[in-house]
Amino acid sequence: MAGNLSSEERLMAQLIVESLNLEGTSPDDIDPDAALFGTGLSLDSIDALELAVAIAARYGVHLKAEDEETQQVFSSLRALTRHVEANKAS
Amino acid sequence: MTSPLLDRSPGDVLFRGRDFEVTAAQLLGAAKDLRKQLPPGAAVVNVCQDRFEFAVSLVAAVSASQPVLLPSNRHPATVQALLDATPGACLIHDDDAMPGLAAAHRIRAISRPAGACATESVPDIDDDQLCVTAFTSGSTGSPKANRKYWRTLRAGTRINGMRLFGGLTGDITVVATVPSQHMYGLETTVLAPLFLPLAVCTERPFYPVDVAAALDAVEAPRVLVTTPIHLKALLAANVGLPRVTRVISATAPLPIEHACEAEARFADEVLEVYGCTETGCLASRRCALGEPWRLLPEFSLTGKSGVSIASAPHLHEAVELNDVLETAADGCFRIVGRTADMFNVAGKRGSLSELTIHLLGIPGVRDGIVFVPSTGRRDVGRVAAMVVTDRPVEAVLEELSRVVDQVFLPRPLLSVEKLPRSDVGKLDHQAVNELWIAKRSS
Repeated sequence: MAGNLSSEERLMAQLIVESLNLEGTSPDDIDPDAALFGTGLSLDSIDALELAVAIAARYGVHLKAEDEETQQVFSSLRALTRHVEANKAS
Repeated sequence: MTSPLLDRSPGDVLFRGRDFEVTAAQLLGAAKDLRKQLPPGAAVVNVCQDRFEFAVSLVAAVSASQPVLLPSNRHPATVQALLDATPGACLIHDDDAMPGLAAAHRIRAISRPAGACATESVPDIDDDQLCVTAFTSGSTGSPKANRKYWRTLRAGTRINGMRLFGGLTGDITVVATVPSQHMYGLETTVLAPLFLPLAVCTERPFYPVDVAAALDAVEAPRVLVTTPIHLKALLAANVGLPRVTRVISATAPLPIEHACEAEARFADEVLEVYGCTETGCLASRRCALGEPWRLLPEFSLTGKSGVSIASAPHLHEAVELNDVLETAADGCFRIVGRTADMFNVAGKRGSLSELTIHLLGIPGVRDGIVFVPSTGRRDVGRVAAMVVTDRPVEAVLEELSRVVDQVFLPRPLLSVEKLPRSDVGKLDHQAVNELWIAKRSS
């Protein structure tokens, strides 16, 4: 999978690994298009909350359940990175 | 003996949505409509997330003397297993129709009360009626059924009214982050408005900005029913919050600094609640003041060789607690430890030895141990594990995830060459912890 991530995606992957304690997972091991929850990395709702807090702290982007694309946001590393990049304060 | 299904005036507001309110009469009217759709005698599996939709479904089933089953979580596999184990069951769902599920019957919950609603007479419910079976996932692989009779639900709610919601005045609105299917959520967000002078926000906000928006959308006095995990996220997210009269936190120990910070920033007081699915809410304390736990009215504790047993007239049976309690002469107590084998993640209780047995049962696993690390920086209480195997740890986790709840999956699961077993094969907890620390830093 190495080399598949953009620099923004790699930073997001690092944040995921660090904030969720996913030792043994290298940021480059995360398939940018695979599901973050359920299958894939098998993250759960506690993770969603912790990740939301970490993203708010790092990028100033607050995730909301109401966002039309919410289901999409956490669907993959790529979708999450795209959402955060599009919404962060420049 | 029977007692009324609810104890509110017909015009009292029980639920508040974004652009509508639901009175007691409207709730009864909607439940009457839904009852006509219920297959007679069928058990009702209620997976509704919206509080009003959940409540209409519950009230319809209880008034028709049909049992309500609550899955331990809303994962499709969990709900399907419950449906499979309950022939003829009727699934009541909301927007999320869970299309992949096979159910004998399925009904879309009623999402809005009818415009005009005649005054409905309040049904009487037999105190011995089995109303709700709440399943807890545990770590045994098969969920445990916790049966709740009308007497227990009704009396428990009145007791909560004296403490959790006691001393509050005005038109209280409760905003809650916990699911209605969990016993704590059921008591505080669905049963509470049936008997206590308060209304509940129909939404279940999850992310910090959603919680802030839901609190902003209702008028004071506000009560926030939440958990240590949600409260920690709310504080960390640094969002603007309106004044909250009382924060109620349960399901796991609340760090005192979070209670103090919440009281400094937005809450008049933070009330921490102790209990379990078997007892419901059992004791409370003002965490920020370092108070000991005070039992709720009607409850009593007895101890026998280090095990504490809770009883109350409204409980079906006495309940052995999983924590080690130190009781003072005045009946207040402190929690001094958890029975060594038990742990709690996200309001779900598991057994380390059972999880270890599951781990050892996976093909290719030669040895393994599931434990709670002593130096974990996460305070959600997740378990960790070490395993001796030639298989990739992802494959082991994947197999484990088929038999245990997601939140019980060890994180991290580390592969080691061998475990520090003694000559007689015993694992010393300290040696396990030392190996774990060494492996993590390598």
